[in-house]
Amino acid sequence: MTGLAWLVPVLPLAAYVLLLIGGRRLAEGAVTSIAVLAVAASFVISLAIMIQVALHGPQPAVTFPWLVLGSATISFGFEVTSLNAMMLVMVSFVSALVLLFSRGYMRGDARFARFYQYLSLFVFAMLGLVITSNLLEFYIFWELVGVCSYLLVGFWYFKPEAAAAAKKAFIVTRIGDVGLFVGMILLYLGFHTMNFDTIFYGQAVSSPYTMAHGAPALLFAAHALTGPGIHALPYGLAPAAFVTLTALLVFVGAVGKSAQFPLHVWLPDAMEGPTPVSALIHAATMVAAGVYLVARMFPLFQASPAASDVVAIVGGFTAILAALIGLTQHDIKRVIAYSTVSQLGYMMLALGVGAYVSGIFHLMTHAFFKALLFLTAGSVIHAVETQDLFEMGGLRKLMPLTNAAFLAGALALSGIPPFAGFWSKDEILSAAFSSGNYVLYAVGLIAAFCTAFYIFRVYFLTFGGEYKGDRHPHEGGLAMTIPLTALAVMATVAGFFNTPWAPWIANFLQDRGAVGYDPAVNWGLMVVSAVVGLAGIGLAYYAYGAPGRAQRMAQKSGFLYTLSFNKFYFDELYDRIVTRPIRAIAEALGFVDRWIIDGLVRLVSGGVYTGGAGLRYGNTGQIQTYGLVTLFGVAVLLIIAAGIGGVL
Amino acid sequence: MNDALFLTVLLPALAALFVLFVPARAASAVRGVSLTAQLLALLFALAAYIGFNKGMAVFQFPFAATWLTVPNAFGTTPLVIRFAFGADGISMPLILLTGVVGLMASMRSHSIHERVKEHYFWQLLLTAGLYGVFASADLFTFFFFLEATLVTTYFLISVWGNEGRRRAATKFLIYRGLASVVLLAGFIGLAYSYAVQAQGASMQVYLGFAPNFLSLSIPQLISEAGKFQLSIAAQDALYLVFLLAVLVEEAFVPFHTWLPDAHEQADTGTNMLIGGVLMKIGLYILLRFAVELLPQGLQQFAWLTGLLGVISIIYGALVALAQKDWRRLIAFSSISHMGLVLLAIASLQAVGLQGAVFMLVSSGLLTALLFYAVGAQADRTKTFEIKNLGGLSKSLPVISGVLLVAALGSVGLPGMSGFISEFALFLGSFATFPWLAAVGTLGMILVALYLLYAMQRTTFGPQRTEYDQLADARPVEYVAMAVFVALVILIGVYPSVLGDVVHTTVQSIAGRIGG
Repeated sequence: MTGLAWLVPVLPLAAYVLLLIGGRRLAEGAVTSIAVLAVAASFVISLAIMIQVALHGPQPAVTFPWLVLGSATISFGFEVTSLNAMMLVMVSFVSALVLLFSRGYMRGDARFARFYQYLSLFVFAMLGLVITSNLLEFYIFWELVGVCSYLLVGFWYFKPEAAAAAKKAFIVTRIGDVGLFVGMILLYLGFHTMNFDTIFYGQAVSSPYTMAHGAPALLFAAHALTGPGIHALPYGLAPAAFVTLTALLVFVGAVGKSAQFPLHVWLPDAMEGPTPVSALIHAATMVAAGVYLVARMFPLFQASPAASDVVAIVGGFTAILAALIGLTQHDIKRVIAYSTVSQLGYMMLALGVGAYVSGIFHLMTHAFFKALLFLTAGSVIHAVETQDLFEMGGLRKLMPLTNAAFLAGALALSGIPPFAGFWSKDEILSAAFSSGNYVLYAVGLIAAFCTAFYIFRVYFLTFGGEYKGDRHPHEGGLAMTIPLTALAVMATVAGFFNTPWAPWIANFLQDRGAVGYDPAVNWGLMVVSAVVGLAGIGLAYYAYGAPGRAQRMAQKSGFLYTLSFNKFYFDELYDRIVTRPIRAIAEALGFVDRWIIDGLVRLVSGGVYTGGAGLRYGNTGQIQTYGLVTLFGVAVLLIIAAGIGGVL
Repeated sequence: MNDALFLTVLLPALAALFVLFVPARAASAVRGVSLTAQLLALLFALAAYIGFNKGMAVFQFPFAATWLTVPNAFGTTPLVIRFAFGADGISMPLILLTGVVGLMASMRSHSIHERVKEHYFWQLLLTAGLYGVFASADLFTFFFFLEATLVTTYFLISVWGNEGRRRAATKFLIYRGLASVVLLAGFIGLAYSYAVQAQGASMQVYLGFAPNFLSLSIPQLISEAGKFQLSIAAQDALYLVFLLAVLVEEAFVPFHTWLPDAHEQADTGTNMLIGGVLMKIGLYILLRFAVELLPQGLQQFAWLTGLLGVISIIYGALVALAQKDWRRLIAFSSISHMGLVLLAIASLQAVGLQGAVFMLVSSGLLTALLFYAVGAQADRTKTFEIKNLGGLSKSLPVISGVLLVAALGSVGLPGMSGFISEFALFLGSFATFPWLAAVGTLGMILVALYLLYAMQRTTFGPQRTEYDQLADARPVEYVAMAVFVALVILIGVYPSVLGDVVHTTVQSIAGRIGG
């Protein structure tokens, strides 16, 4: 089955090509069937691959030469490792459900087929990114993911906000991409290869023992820092400095893609796209790519404690920052968007403190419950036609299935046992604690409290109380309820894949040897996590259970509320210190160019222009000018020729 | 088969002459002749490309004819002026590029309705000149065709351009005319120095020393460069002469102001030929003559050259951000992209040189496509002003889509030709100048800024009522745009289609100059 692994990304690509050619002539049902079946087939193959890996272990990469560049050949190929087998299953599962959901959500849209076409390309790009065995190829898919999100966020191109959000997403992530680009180039200059395994272990790995991080990370350290056969590192850098520099550059890419501080500003705006797109971006594709990058490059980060610390601190800071912003937003999708930023921070925090398994486990559970939250939000928006929390309410009775699904997602996000998020988030917190990062642990815990509060604030405002609008909300069709049900089930039970008494995922990811840091079970910390989550929910219930209380709380918190509500003014800050200065410089240079540089030219050549003006209307004028220049040329030429003769 | 290159030059030139004899009334006959000649020339270029021996680094498809013999030029030895053609891995892709852009420009010129016959006459001559420049294997031949491109482009701008056309055309003529003069000085110096050196004359030769043989053959000069080195002083001086010529020729900052003016005034077909092919000649000169024949001079001034490249990258991108007219924006974008090539050439790394050739081809295709798509929308909206556009995705979905592809390709999106070019360019640049290259990467962000900003205002946004009833791409436009898009994606996905032709030559150059 692993030999067929290439089919996993190729099937959605085929759907894309089919829809590109014939999409406009097909009925909506046919379009949906093509796209959903393709991705569902990818899911089935992925599942088979994962089982195969569980039974027989990872398979060596299959590569073929792509381009001879300088003295080396760059190969492309695909690989099946424990990490990416799991990712393939997760990505294809969530994507298939989102694609199915879109059938109901996008019904009647003038560019229905185009929407599915872009979604298929998006899924292809993400699956390709996950399955590749090579950093350059990874980067290609990475950028393709970015472009697809640009197209999809800006899908309703006629909305100015959507157009602006799409551009913002592309440019902000582009800043990160340049970091990754430079990091990739430096790694190539250092190791003369783009293959992950060769970068990490100095050779194409043929023995399954070392594959995909099954190899002790120390092996890479040995290879990079002291190993034989290593080329001179660029710029005469010391090995430790080189590893730290490249790891940080790679991380810059992940910061952009996974919306970490300070490049987090694009993700909340990106919800201007259709809601299924948000679900895809926030759960299975785009933002997951950044975390996957750090996980795939884990040996590099392991070899640099400094870089790992940066990852952990950026992650922790982002987790609390976004959670604080999420407390006060009025737009249902915006709250969920900030929760994504915050949860991605947890994953980075995990990877930064070395908790490889916990980070990936949280990536997986988060994909389920975040897709669920976005799709339920989509279902709500579809029904009430507003995104403002204060115009909803009372949907518990009107939309019972959506209510139950959202509740499952919210409990998972809040980290309430036994829902999925509890297990993974707790692992991260306990890893932070037991690795001695008490500050990060405390930060994570506070963020967890805020998380539980803001998501239940959304829940009470949306589903509790009485409906405030004038429409008649009801459940969507089967295409919408099936995905909700499936994801709700996963958000409820996915945590059991990796519990202290049955750590299946840990075993699966580490079946060739321990990777990173795996905290010991700490029941005390588990209780703390659960209590903090419940406390957050309790506070939300208190605040929104009775009218007026929330407003009084907001007033009491004064400027803190204003800060949070205005997202700590990051957009305004960046506008002042980056966007406007660049515009101003550009305008100034444009002026200088036109009136000063070209002005000088005109001044110098004024004679020629006026001289030519008299001849302008004669046909011969042009010829004469040319003749003049040629004559002048020959004269200058003779002088120069004489001069050069002298030089020699 | 050896005549293929010669034929690519001859066919458009003959067709131009033929067009003169077609009655002006028979515009469709003129178009037919032109299109046929361009297509045939392209097929010959393609045949040569396919038949090119990828394992050899020498000039292939040699063809030479003596034009003029000056008896007793050097004592008793005559000076032989020849037309000689040939191509190696650097020029071969550019010849094919000329063919593609030439044919598409000819198709695009269907929208010209004034002085049709003359337009095609000059366009065909320009195409012949461009083929000639890249296919020459001789200094005289090269210069002859370079001058041909100068005159023909001048007429194309000054007759079929917009209101400010004469001024722009004159500016174009003066700048590039001066560049030609400087270049000619460089050529003479080059041939003279190599001749003197080849005869083993002492380094201190006085003016008036007459070598008994003067070779203008490029392959021969290259083979001599493999045997001995010119003196450092000669290389430095000559390199600076070449660099000056290239800075003007290629519109590098601060000698660039003629290019935006020319692009703003010229018609779309001419813009495709200028932006797509003509603006690659300067850097081709640097690759052909400076890198191969004056490596130590280049090395001496590598940092200066790289710095000039970076200045153009950043300056071009920032000024592009301030442009209000699509054509001027594309002009500055092209200046910025060519800055990348200058930086990579200065790195003197094999990968960098390979990236340079990739970028010349990629930027040629993408610039021509950008001009084509922008021209197609302007045919309909009657404007190139970005602020007057908006929401075109609705009424012109195909043209808008192609414009987006071209913009994203220029941004360097992987899967299209721009990315692999940038990757190779920066690989070379980072190996030699980490700091300069790091500053250069800012261009990768700025390019996204100005192109996506322009896209946001052109195709996104609410549709303007005046553009409700526009008709989308016609079949002929479909074909042209599809060809460009297909080539850009082909190179992006399977770069070996270009890389295999370039690689051997570049490796051999790098081996010779020790890069």
